[in-house]
Amino acid sequence: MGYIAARGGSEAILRAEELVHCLRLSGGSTPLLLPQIRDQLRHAVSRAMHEGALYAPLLAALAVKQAEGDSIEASFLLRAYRTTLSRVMATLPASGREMACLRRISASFKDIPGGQMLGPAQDYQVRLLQPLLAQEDDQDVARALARYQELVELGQPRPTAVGHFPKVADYLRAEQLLVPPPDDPLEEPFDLTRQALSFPAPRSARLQALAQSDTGSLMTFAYSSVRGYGDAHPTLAELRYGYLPIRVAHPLTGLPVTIGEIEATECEIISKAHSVAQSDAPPRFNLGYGFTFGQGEVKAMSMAILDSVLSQARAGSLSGESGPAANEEFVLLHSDGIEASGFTAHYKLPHYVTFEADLRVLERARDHHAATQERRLSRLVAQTTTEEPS
Amino acid sequence: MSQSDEQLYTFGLIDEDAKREIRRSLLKAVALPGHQVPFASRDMPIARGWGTGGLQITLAIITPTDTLKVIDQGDDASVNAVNLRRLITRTTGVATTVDTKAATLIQSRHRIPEERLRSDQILVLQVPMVDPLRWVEPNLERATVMHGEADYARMWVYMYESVVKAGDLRIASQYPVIVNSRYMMDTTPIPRWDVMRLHMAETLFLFGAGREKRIYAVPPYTPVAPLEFEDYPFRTEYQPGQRCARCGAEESFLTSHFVPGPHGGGAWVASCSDTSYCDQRLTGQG
Amino acid sequence: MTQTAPPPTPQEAFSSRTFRLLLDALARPGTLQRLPEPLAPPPALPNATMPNPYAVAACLTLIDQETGFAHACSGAWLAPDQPLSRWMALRTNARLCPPSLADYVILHDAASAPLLTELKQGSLTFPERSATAFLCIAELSSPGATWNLRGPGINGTLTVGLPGVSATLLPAILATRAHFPLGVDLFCVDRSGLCLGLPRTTMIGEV
Repeated sequence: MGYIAARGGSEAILRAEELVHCLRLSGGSTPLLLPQIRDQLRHAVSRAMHEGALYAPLLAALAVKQAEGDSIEASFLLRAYRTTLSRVMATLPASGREMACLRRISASFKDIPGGQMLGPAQDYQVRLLQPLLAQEDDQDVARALARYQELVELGQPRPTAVGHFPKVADYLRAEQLLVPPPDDPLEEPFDLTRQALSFPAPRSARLQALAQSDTGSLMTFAYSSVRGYGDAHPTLAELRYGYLPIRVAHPLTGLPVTIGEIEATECEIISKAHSVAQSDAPPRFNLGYGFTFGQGEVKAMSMAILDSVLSQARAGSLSGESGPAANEEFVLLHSDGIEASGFTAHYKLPHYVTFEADLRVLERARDHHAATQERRLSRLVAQTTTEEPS
Repeated sequence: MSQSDEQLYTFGLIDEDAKREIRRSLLKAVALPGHQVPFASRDMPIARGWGTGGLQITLAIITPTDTLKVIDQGDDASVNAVNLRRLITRTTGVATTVDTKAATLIQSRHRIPEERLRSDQILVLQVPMVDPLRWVEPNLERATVMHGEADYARMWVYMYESVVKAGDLRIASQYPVIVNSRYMMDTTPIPRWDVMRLHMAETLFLFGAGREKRIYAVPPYTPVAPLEFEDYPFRTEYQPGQRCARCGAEESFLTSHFVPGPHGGGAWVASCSDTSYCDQRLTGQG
Repeated sequence: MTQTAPPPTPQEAFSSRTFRLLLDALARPGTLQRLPEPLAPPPALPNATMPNPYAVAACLTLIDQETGFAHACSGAWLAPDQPLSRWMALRTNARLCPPSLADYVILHDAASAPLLTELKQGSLTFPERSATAFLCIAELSSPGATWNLRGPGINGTLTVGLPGVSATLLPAILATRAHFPLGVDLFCVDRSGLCLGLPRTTMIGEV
């Protein structure tokens, strides 16, 4: 028929799927194996997991491969998979205190109980490209593994309580320097995937939404609130990264059983603004919380800053009213990468019906404009004629 | 998708818990014509903004004996319609049709089919923007209170300003309406041509906004009134003398297309956006 | 293309079929729908009579762990340890809760209709957070000589018959819908499985 260019959809969709597949392999290079992605593209896998809200490293590696490295697409694949899984049971609450830390730092004090542990951090690396990485081979792998063993021995790990540290926030809390959490910590948490979010949202809904948000969006919001469109003055109480044991209650005995551990990042940020949530209570710091699956430090810190800013805003205290990042609806409804990317991309869909309607309305507006101009002109002409001396 | 992939899922892809939650919301939506009912809105295997709300409703209400029609811009062969139909039929096995009259369940984006819909049919519309108040009040908490109190004054001011500036109500599609003399409702981006076809219709209309996580409904025989002023009445896109270049229909919604000429060049022509209606008129079955 | 869609299980098929009928009943008040035969008979009520199996089965398709339910017989709310309460909770994971918090309610006889006024009606901002009740009655007919109905879903006016129903029923229903958009939505189900939807928008008058 040839009338509508976007018709014949079935064929086009099937060919498009094939082309995506072919293009990925068209260079003729060796196909990536999932363990390679999981181990060597660690951050891509972490990001797919925390934005996809599913802890499954090998599936995340598959998602990264299938999405050809696109982080939002990879997390979308995991989310769409997660939604089909039945919920066997809920885990018991996990605490960052139980984390076996690979890394643990605080910016609030020079020395902290248990000590600072820099661990695997890129923070102080000089960002120069390393040409040797381009020629890595099996010998390099063997060398790296041997060196890792040496480093472990040098570190002299204590046989008991490996990597377990007291928390800086616990010390501050004991000193009565922190406000109590805004919601009852024993309350059953909100579940965004089962309940419709409405505002004002409970803090558990906020934390769940932030934890699965797009890293870049959270970073932008958090940055805006510390740069000038807000009044946040964060200090890093603690950032830790390591392995967190996950427990469930045994279905028969009710006793906690560890079912495995997950790699996770946890962050606690103190806000310098003195909360006056309870006007009769003495001024205290406010604490923001951040958490991601895998290693996601910028996101965990952004999340903690935003949690703190939003708690301040809710409490209606000295700071926080200012700036877009203090608006809970604005932050929570625009930071989900899967929702935002989906809707932004949906403008690729045909809109010719609405555009046709737009054209009709534009025509009428132009007619109205022309008519107004004409009336104005004739009035002007009439005026000029009457003003002319006879 | 290979054949074995689908066996991972239940009939209609989404699980029974999700279907029940959508069904409960649908019943409340029907009992509150035009009111937005929040629902959890599961993640779907298609992108947000691409019909996840309509899709969830369709999957929650479809039965094996349904005959399904899926259209986008009125066209059964539009790429997105094809994709959604493919997903629904693969996970339910229901029969599909392009013939509006033969369908029991129609999922649509941006159009209501030209043929008069019957009482044994349900039309599911995909909704991108859920609330007409968004133009004047982006904050959900405040907009919810405005709906609760039927406080639509700011929207009337907005409409009035558009009349002053443009000499007409400037909203082209997703025209705001008042349903059953109570709730202001977004009609989804259907053209104005379709708006009055929601009024006192024989059919049940269900609206699903997946990203915005809201469901709403217009039951049959329910008054639907577009926002208008006495001196600036609501007008559709209809232009006297309009005619489909293909089937000659004079009473249908037309869209423009560029048709290349046989020797280079070409011309813009207007034809029915509802392709099945147009085809049936051409073959004389309409 | 080979069809690979899994067929619905009997329970899934029953639920989706029932839902379409409930949806139609609510969208077209006054047009009676015949509910499908239940898959399993429910246990007896405390007064040793059988509950209306159609109403119980229809209610069961809508409740789960996210919802609370309540039910009453002979004008009194039933306790959690009553066999039918346990039967419903076990099949759905829904919890029996105080009537004022219940999302779904079954009134096993017309004598319990005055209890409708104890149910939640939602709020101005969230009117959907209101109860949906199934009211079991002896017999329904349409057209009929008991009530006339107007409102959304009805082309003009329709009449329905509820022979022998007490004069206290209509005032009890009307009391739950005096403040639109607040209100309780109602399904009347008779012994043969005929179902009448009465959303809060339906205006009911005596013939």
